[in-house]
Amino acid sequence: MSKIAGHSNLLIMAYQNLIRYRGKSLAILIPLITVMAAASFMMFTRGGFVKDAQIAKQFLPDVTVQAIEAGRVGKISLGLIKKIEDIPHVKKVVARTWGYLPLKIGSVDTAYTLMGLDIDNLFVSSKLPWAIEKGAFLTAEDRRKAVLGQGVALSFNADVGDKIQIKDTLGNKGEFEVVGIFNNTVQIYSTDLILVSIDDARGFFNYSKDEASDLLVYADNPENADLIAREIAGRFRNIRVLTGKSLTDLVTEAFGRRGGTFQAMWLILLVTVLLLVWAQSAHISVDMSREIGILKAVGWQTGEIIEMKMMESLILSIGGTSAGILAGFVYALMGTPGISGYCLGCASIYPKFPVPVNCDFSSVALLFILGILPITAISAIPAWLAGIVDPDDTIRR
Amino acid sequence: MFPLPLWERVRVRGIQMIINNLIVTYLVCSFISLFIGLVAAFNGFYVWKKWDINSQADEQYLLEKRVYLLITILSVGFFLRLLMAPLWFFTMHSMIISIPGAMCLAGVHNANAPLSYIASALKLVLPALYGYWLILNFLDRQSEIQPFMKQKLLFIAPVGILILLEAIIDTSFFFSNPPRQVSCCTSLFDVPRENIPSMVSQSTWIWVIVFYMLILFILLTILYLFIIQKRSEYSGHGWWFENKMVMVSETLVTTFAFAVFILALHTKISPLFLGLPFHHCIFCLCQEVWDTLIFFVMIFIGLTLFIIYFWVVCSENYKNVNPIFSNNMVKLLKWSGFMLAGGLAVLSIHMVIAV
Amino acid sequence: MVQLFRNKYLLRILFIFIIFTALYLYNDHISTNYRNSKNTQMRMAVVETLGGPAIPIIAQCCTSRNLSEGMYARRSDLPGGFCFHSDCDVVVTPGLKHEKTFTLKVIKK
Repeated sequence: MSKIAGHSNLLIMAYQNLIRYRGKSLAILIPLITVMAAASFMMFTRGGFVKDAQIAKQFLPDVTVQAIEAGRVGKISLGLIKKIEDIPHVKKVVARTWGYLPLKIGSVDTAYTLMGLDIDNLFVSSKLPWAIEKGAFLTAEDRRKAVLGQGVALSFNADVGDKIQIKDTLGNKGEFEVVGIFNNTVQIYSTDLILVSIDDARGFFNYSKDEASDLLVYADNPENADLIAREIAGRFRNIRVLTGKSLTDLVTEAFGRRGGTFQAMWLILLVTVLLLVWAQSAHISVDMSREIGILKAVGWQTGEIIEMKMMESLILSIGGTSAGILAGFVYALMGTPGISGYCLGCASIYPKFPVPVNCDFSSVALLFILGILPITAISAIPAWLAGIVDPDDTIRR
Repeated sequence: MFPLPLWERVRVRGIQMIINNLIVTYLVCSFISLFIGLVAAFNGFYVWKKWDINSQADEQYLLEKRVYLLITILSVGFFLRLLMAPLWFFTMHSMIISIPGAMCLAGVHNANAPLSYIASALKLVLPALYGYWLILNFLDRQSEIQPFMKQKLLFIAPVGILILLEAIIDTSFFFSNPPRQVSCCTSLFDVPRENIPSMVSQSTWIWVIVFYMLILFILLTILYLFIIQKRSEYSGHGWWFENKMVMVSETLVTTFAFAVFILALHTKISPLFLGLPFHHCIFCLCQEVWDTLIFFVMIFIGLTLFIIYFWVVCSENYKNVNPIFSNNMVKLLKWSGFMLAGGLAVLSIHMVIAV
Repeated sequence: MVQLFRNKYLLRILFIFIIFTALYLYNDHISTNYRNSKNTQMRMAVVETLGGPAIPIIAQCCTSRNLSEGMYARRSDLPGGFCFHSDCDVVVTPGLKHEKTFTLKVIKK
């Protein structure tokens, strides 16, 4: 117990030293908080997308089938639907037709997605009406009607009841009445979408009646997804098969790589902070060296001085990291204003929308490791320099 | 799982690597500990050559000052390396989705074998050495005569070289992950009947029984040593103090016990706990069954502390300083015993439920 | 032990730890949990109905929106995944001279 009391006394002394030399402490703390906040908002934003993708795994189709023509994705024949439905454990197969609309908004090149759904056969979620801000979702009878994502509606100032006319330079065109607009919350999945019936999409993209872009396969049990995927890949040629798990892994990896690249660049900032810590800690002022000399003269050991100095850097690093993580979390919750362009990609053409944020244990643990260990390591030598100060030299000065 | 080339290749002058938060963090910690290891290795060798506690020369005073530096940075460095051992496995786990064909750590290891297996083996061996130095240093600082100073300083250079080797292997592994399909644990351990791994993997209770016998023997040894060590506080004598033969034999027995533990996990415990009678894979077991990590870590720490106890009490000059350190050695034995017993209890309960 | 807890510095550390734990629990179990978060339920309703569109906001650069970096061809792998990368490392700025460019006009009701 007395040993713990001894260490806690050193901790109190270290804390009081930091308060006394608050200028020096703030010079280390403020850059550290900024740097850790930058790392944490990126990690939490990434964590939010990954968690969303993991939750989405149970809602995605179990298998998605696309046709490959000469190594590129092409049109798939609807004749495959019956053959896939014959495979054991397949509950349902739904066709989907979609394509891109390269559009110019002012001078910015953008690409929106026009997607046609087979409303008759689709699994329409009972909670979908919550996601519609204005109007309603498509019904099976709707023709020449569209539901827009918020990004499309706001970019072109379209509202429910308006008509959108899409034309290309060769004269192909489509005209759709807007019947619904998705809300802000679901923008991450729908912001660039123009949703129409599958027949309208086929007509627009010149697909014949028995063609589609891909087939969504639903299994009787999610455990059978891999089995079905292997069966489909084995039976049919020139197709590509994607399981729900692989789509989720793709998001995790894409954002993991993005987070890792950002972190590698962020290391430059961390090195700057470390140099700052070194510069502040290694310089022992006359007052401080006299203080240490007096402490040694009254009986403090070299080891105790070193321990106290290490505790100072530990308190600074823990305090700075914690404050940085909190600040980063709040900044992420606010939607990362100012730099969402990097985090979110083409956000320059999209309005601000809520970004899912996930503060998970592994991210916090990594942040603490990155915030505390390098600073503690770099403070070892300055702590030693402080500890070996000769009392008689410093007191006489 | 469906094979897709889910490669996120970062091309840096022809080097291909997978990059994510955990890998970057691990590399940062690796570079810091490497730097610390290099500084410590050079200075440690220099101080060890010139050290003479009875000398009155100025040089000895400067050496004593330098020793404080060594102890400070090594304590930070070894603590960092102890933390990096579990971080290594978590980092490898994060690479599973980036390597086509990998379903568990076996696949990740196969992406760049044998570097990966050597690196993982070092993560199990070197923490014992780091722990030994930290405990030796802790005891040494409690005595004014610092009886273990020479041993501490002698130990630094070889450990520094091992840290260097470990850091090089780790970095090589992360910086060279060629995009290729790997085989998973099933084809490695279960399917081919001729290979040595699958021959060793035959489902059998033998290794489990041998493991239990060895662990019970070690626990009884701990109990015996605990009682005698408590008494030796006053008498100052234990027949095994400064006995190198005992140290070597106990190290061999404990290492053998750990190897048998791995075999027991591989042959019988993993198929039993996973519920897959023909699947022998420790990595899948650690991934799917959460209490595996708990009892694995507890048994590993228990055995390591047991080895460290013998390395300390069998070192030179220990008999003279036993009255000062006896309490601490008793605590060490207590921790070792509790960890082993706790790990064994968790394993046994799960085994009874699974059977 | 009681004395240790009365130590105000320890109490401050404990307080920070409690704040972090509360934040983590709130975030994990309420704001990002499917059962408790209406926002998450809305997003999943869209995913379920549309059959999994890509998140149209991941980018290598400001001219691309591509989820499918690791997959073949990058373009047209998934709805929403669209990019002008000719190679993972090189961005080709689209001139759109060779593309079938569409125009979109809104006719107000």
